[in-house]
Amino acid sequence: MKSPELIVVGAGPGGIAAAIEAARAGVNIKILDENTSPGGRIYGQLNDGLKLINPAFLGSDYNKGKALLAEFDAFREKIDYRHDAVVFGTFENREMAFHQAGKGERLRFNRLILATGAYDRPVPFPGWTLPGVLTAGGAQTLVKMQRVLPGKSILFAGTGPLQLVVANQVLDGGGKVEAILEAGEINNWLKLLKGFSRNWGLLTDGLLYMRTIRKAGVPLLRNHIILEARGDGQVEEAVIAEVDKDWRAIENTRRILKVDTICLGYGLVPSAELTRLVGCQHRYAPELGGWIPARNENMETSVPGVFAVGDGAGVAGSAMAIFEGRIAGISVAQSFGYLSSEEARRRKKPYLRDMKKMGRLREALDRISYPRPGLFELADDDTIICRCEELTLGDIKSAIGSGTIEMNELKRMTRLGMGRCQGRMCAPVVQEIIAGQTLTPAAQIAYLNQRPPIKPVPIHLLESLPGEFAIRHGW
Amino acid sequence: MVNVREAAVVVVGGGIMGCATAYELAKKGQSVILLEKGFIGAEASGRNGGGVRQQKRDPAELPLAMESVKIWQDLQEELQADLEYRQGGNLHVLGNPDRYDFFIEQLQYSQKAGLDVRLLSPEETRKLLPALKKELELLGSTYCPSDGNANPLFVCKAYAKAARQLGAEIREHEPLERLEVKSGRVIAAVTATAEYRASDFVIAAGAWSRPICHQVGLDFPVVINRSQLMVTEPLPAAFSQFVSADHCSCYYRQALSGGIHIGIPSAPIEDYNKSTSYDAFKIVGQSSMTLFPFLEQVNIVHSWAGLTSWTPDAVCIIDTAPDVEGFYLTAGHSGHGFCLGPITGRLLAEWIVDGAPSMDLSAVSWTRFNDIYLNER
Repeated sequence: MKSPELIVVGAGPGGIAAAIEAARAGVNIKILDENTSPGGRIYGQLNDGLKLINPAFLGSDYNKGKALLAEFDAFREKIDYRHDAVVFGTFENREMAFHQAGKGERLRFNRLILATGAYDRPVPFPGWTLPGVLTAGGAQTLVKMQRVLPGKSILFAGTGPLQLVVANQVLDGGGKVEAILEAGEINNWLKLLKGFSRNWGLLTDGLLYMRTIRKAGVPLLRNHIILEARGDGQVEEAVIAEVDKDWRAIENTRRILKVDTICLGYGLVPSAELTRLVGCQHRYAPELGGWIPARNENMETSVPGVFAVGDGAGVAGSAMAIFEGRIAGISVAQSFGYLSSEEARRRKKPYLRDMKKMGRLREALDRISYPRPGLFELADDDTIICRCEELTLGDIKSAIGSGTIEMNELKRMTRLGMGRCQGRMCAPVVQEIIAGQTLTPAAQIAYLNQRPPIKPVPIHLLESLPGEFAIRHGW
Repeated sequence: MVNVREAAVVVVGGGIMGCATAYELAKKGQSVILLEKGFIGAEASGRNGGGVRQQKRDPAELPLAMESVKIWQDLQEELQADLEYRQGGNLHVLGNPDRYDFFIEQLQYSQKAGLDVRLLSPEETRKLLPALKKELELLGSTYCPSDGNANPLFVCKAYAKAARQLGAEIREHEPLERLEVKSGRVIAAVTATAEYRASDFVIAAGAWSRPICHQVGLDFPVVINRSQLMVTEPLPAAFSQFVSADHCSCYYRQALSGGIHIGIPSAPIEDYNKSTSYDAFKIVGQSSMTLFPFLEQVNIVHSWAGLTSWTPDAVCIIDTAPDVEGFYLTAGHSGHGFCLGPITGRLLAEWIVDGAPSMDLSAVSWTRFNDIYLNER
């Protein structure tokens, strides 16, 4: 088991930036990336066989991504980059296991940078499991990677800039958008962007997106939310309403839109599976997406030598992920003595400065767009919460009613989170449901225990893992 | 001011042993308080493989297992709960000539004791378990049709609920701090919130029992093991038996929900460590490809582990303490106590209320380890 000095998990903006800085200083690196090529979800390249005619279609992110990927390419020879490499567990004695190309492998980690990203926030409401309801992120993948429109008449519902970006891409691709619902105050965050325009190119993007949306005549409804999706085996209409500041529907504002597709963009949930499995301390930060690892100024977690960067450590976007990644990479190089503390400080300085500047913007943005309580009250007793085990809100409420207040106990009683998605879809919601039902602050409700495999793993790959164990009995 | 609570019996431990005991005591009209450090069934009783087995038992445990299965058969009705219990049989595939005689001997004394356990030919075995790998060389199997399995997540909860309905008080998140002993008698179980006084105390705290027993000067040799399990994604019904084999390390049970539960042999562990090990993944891969190649492309979706306490002879302990009155103990179930829960609860209740258990428990007394201690000294 030959181990590199540094293992980076994930090759999105944060992981790449970390690897660049560590490699620049001479650190020996292995990157384990689930995707086929570096870039992560945001800078992900078009699928093979598709040619990009108009780069503007993908937004300015695409060009930023290209610059970072070019920088990464310059260090490629020094980095053992593994694509389609799925880390499925970490274990005692700082060991980890992953599989790639049909073979299981085992590694010991010394320094570890986790840049695992985030996933679309699931929001259950009546009808959310109907075909035709998908996440904005999923819709983006369809449009951007596969060049497929998600439907014929599309409703966007959510909060924050991502749904504007995707709506734009749908419009550019020739799709029809019926309306965009912003649960919060859209003017608030546009104003905010203006205030920070010198620091961040997002405003220009934002304004461009707004212009396209207006030109296409798409209604942009602020303080609006989707309450229900209806249809016979497929989305046919959406019930929407105006909401108050807690995102609770205001009476007599309900109306029905005829649509066949609903894209939900209520932000992201950090993929903190590995930081939790490794045993890092976490805190509940709803404004950053949920449970996130506690970190010091070097992006190091409470487990020495384990760093976390990017959306997986608190949803803050790609620009922040890059700064965090660079700082973590430099810190790792310094910890091995490749950089003097003075040199490390010098290299970190510009990123720390930019982070600080952006930090204020982020905080303001977070305050505007993090999910409000009304969002977790949309489901009725028949609404499915855990899709894998087909558990309804009623099932969960009756389990809570019988005295269960711990998520791990709830899981044992109801099989909640025991299916294929391993709780990714239901646990963030159930945390809020328990909080609401028991009037307990969500931060006090312990999350599901994290165990390997953090992704389903086929049995033949387990057989191919290194190591020999004699047959033993005893039970 | 000390908060004092009183009952006829205090049970320490909310696993299957403690919950069954509390239920049986309450059924006999006793006032019972059960103290559980976490929630009901949180440890090994809710984390095990779910096997309810009589075959392959030590002679000391065999009569207990057979009596227990009699209770199991009507337990769902008695507790008014779905336990996913079914008598799908227990099948051990024979493939190791060196162990063959051992299994035959077990089979024979079990048959003598009245258990319907059969030696199947390789053909009969394959017919019963078509999922078995075609190329596997087998010598046959031992098969006990009245053995079965249940959902460990449900059983403790059901017992606790039924006990509660009969008036027992089940206190969760109430870890024992110490036992109070006065003039040769346990008088109270003390927690952070209260002092629980009773005339009799039952310690049924699984892997946490030994340090409690030390407080009354009782010790017995047990080693804490970690037993790990993994489960596949849900599959169509493939087999109803609880399956083990000479050819591989793991055991297999398909739950009613479709997931195949794969048990990894337990091993000694320090510090109550319940994490999943790297080895467990490799062993599951190896074992499954040896026995059930149809699982090749099937995903493992979850893993978990529980802590079990093992005695030197892998036989449990149901006993009192030597010099202390009002103290009852069940421990050392060595990874196969789940089946014995119902009978253990009933016998302890009889012992406490009627003065003697209805079965001879001398074979499961801790005194059989006296020699070990004498030798060590």
